[in-house]
Amino acid sequence: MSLVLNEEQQMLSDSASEFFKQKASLAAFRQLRGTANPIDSDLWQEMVDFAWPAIMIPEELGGLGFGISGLGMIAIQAGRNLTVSPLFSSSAIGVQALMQCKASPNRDSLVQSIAEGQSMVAVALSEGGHYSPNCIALEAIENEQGYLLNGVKTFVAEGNYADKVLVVAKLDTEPTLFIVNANSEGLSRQKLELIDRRDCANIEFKQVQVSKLQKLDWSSNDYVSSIDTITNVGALMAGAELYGCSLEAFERTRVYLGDRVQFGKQIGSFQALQHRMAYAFTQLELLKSVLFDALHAVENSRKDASLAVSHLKALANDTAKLVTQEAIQMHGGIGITDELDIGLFYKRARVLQAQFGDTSFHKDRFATLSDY
Amino acid sequence: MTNNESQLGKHELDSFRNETRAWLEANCPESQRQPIKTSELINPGSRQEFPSADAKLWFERMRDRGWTCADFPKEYGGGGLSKAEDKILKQEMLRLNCRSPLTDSGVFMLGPALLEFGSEAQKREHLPKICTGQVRWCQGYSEPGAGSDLASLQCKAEMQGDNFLVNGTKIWTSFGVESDWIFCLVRTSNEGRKQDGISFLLIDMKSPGIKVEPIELISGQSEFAQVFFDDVVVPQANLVNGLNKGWMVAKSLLKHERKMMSELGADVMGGNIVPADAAKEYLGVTESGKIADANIRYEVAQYDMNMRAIGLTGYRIHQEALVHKMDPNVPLIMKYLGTTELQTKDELLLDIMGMHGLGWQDDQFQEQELSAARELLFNKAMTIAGGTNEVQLNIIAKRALGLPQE
Repeated sequence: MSLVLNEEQQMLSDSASEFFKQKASLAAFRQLRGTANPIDSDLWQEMVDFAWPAIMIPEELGGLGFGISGLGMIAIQAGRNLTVSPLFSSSAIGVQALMQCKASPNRDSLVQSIAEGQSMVAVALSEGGHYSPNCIALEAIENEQGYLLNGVKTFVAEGNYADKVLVVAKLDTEPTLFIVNANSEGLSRQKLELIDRRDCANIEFKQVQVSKLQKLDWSSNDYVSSIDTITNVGALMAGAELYGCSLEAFERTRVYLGDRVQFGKQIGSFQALQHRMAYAFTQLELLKSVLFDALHAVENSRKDASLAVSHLKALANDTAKLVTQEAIQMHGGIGITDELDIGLFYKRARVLQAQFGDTSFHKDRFATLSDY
Repeated sequence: MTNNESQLGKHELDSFRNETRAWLEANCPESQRQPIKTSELINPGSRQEFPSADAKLWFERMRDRGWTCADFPKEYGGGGLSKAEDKILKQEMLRLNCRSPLTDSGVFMLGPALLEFGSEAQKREHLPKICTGQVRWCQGYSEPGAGSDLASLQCKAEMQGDNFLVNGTKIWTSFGVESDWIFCLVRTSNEGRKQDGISFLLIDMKSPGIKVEPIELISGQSEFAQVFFDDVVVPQANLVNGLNKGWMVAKSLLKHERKMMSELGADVMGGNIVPADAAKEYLGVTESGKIADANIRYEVAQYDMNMRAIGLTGYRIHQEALVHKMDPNVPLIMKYLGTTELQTKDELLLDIMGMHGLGWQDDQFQEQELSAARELLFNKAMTIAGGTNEVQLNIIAKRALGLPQE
C-alpha cells in the first residue's frame, strides 16, 4: 500500500524520532550553532552505526538495498527536531547521483565508503540564486591527463566539509558528472552563512585537473532524465524535512494556544485563531498524502515520479511558508525572540523552500509534465 | 476471522464481482454510462418524469434487482448486500461509469437513518417506497432564524391527542416543490439544552395546512423552497426515535448529507470541463505547447495540484481504513476542501472563458459556457449547505485540534 507506512518504515520513523529527540534535538543544534564544527561527529558516528548512510545503497556495494522511503521517514523526524546531519545530502542525493551512473571502480569504491560512513559527498549542480539544474556553465575541457574544470557552483549544501564533490560540468554540450576530491588543487570553497546556520558553500573550480577515471558516464543515454532524478531525490528529501518542520511548528503552536491566556481566556478559544489553525491542519494533511505518494513514486520509479515530486515540493514549500509564519504570529512577541525555538523552524524551512526548486520552479515543471 | 474463512470470503466476493460486472455490462444502457448533467438525474416520487426512455429502463432494471438501495435489507425492499458486496457494486458501477439509478434524499439520507432509528412499523411503511422510487423525500431542517445554529429551531409540534399539531416554517428545503414527504426537525420542548427539545417527524406534504414556495437563486434555478406549516396534523406514529430525541437522528443524517455532498461534488456538480483543456482552447498555446497566459497556466497547475492532493488524501483514508489504522480526524477536512476547490474551478473556468463565460441565456453562447456560469452561481451553495465552511473549520478546531472552546 502506497499511502500507509509499512512495518519497516514505521520502525525507522520511531527509532529516528527517539534518537533525534535524545541526541540531536534543538538543544544540540543551539550548541553546534556558531561553532567551527559543521556537524557533531559523535552523532554522525551513531548514525553510521545504525547503517543509515547505507539504506539506499545496493547490497552488492555494501548497502542495505532498501528504498528511499526509509530515508524519507528519517528526514521527517530530522525536520521535527532540526537535526543537523549530512545524511540527506550525502547518503540520499549523493548516492542517487552516483547510482545514476554506470558502474566503475571509482564510483563503486566511493559508494562503498559512503555506506561505511568513511566518506561524505556533496552534489554541486546548480549555479545561480535559483535552483536551475539545466543551466550549467561550469566547463570540462579534455586534455592529456583527463579533464580541466573551470567554473563556480553556488549554494552547495554541506559543501564545506564533504570530502568529495560530485560536480556536474558541461563536457562539449552534455552535462557530465565528475568525482572531485575536495582538496584538489584549484578547488576553493567559500563558506556561506545562511539564516538556518547550516553548512553551505560556493565552490570555485580554477583549472582543476581531474583524471579520466574521475569522469562517470550516465547509465541512461538521456542525461536529462538522470539530472531529473537527482532533482527528484533532492526535492523529495527537502519536502520530507519541510513536512517535519511544519508539523512540529504546528504542534508547538497548538499547545501554546491552550497555555497562553489573554483577556481572561486561553487564546486558542478565539475563532480568529481557530480557523487559521484548522486551515493549516487541512494543508498539513494534504501534504502528508502527497509526500507518501511521492516517496512511493520515486522508490518504485513510477512513470509519474517527476510530477509527483514537483507536486510535493510546491505544496511543501507553500505549506511550510504558511505554517511556520503562522507559528511565529500566534506566539506573539516571544515568537520573534531567539530564545524561543519557533523561529528556528521558520528559518530552516525558508532555506529548504529554496533548495531543489522553489514553488515557481515546481509549478512550471508540474504544468510542463501535465502537457500544458 | 481465520485465514480459511477470509479466503473463502474472498473467493465468494470475487465471484460476486464477476457476476455483478457481467450483469451491469448486459443491463446498463450505453447512454446511462455517459457523464451526467444535473437535468439527467433520475429522481423518484409521484411527480416522477424520466429524463429519457433509457433512464427509465435502467432505473427499472436496478429497482427490480433491489439495487436502488443495494445495502438495505431485503425485507424492506433493498438488495440485502453486505458492506463488502455493496462496495464492490459501487466500484463496478464506477468502473463502467454507470449513472446512479435513483438520486434522492430518501435513498441517501432518510433511509439509512430509519434503518438506524426507525420503528419496525416505520421501516415497513417507508423503506419499500424509497427503494422503488414511489415517494420523493425532502428535508426540513433550516429555518429563517436557524441556519448554522440549527439547534435554535422554532418550528413547533404540540401534542394533541394522538396527533401533533405543527406550526412554523422550514427553509432551504431542496426539491420542496417536487417532493411527497418531508422529514422535519421540530421543537417539542423548551426545557433544558436546546438540542434536548427537538423531535424528528415524518410529514406527508399533502396534509392540509402545508404551503410550499420556491426560492429563486442567483443561478436562476429554484431547487430550494420554503415550506410553511399552519396547524398541520401529524399522527404520533410518525415520530422517529421518541419524543425530544430527534437531535441524535439529525446528527447521524448530517453525516450522510456531507458524504453525499462530497460525492456529488465529485461527479455531477463539477461539470465535465477540464480547466487545462479549456485554457488551451480559449487562450491558445505557445510554440512549446504551454498555455499562452502564464498566470492562468500557474492557476491551472495550482488547481490540478489541489485536486490531486484531495484525491490522494481520499485514497489514503481508504487505505488506512483497510488496515484499521484510520485517523478519525482526516475525514473532517474533506467537505471543506472539496467544496472550496469546486468553487476555485468554477472561478478559474470563468477567468479562462472571459466574456464568453458570462452568458445568462443566449444562442450566441456555447452550451459549456452557459453551464460554466450557471454552475459557478449554483455552487456558491456548496460551501454553505451541509454545514458552512466556517462550521467545518470550527469542527476541525474542536475535534481534530482540541483547541479550547469558549
